[in-house]
Amino acid sequence: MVAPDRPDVTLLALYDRALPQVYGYLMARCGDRAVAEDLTSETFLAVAAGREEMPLTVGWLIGVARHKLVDHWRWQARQKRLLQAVEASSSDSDDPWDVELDRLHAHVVLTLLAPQHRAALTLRYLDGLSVPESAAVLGRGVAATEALLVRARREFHHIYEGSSDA
Amino acid sequence: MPDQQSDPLDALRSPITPLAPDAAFAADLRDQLVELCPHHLQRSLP
Repeated sequence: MVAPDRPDVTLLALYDRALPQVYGYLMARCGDRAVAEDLTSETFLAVAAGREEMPLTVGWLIGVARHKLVDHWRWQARQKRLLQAVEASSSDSDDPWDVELDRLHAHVVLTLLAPQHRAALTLRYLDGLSVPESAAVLGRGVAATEALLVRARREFHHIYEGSSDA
Repeated sequence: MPDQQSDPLDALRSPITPLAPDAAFAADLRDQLVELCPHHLQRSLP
């Protein structure tokens, strides 16, 4: 019998088994094929460049992908701040879709949030991490993460309710 | 119309759904792994 997350003998075996999981994890969270491919590459290449004694499991690899995703959002947040410093206004385009499903709508709204808010809600709700676990991934304290989640939920609900009225 | 009774954030909770990437991308990345780290690829379990 095969364990659901058994260690693979080689990195290549892990790659063959885990690629759809890692790519699916990233695609569901960033919603952008090019970004998902970049982060998938970064995840596996980081593993290949790492030292010998690492647990070659899908679960561990998803953890690496999660950190790559958070790093990407941090970079996005920096880029956004830079852009806002140059331009007085930003023009987030409205999504033309009407609401088809609550879940789909929620995912769309998630992509409209500020990167740090998207990161916090993704870790907490999509990944199901606890607040302390989310804090560890984000490199913040628990209290700061709780405060971030409050702001993130507020922005989420604001956009969600606003776009529901459209 | 979303259900006003439930928190829409709850709708985000879902397991990972495997998704196959573009085949050419997958093949390129596999080739890179083989080139970068052949010793990892051949490592055996203790």
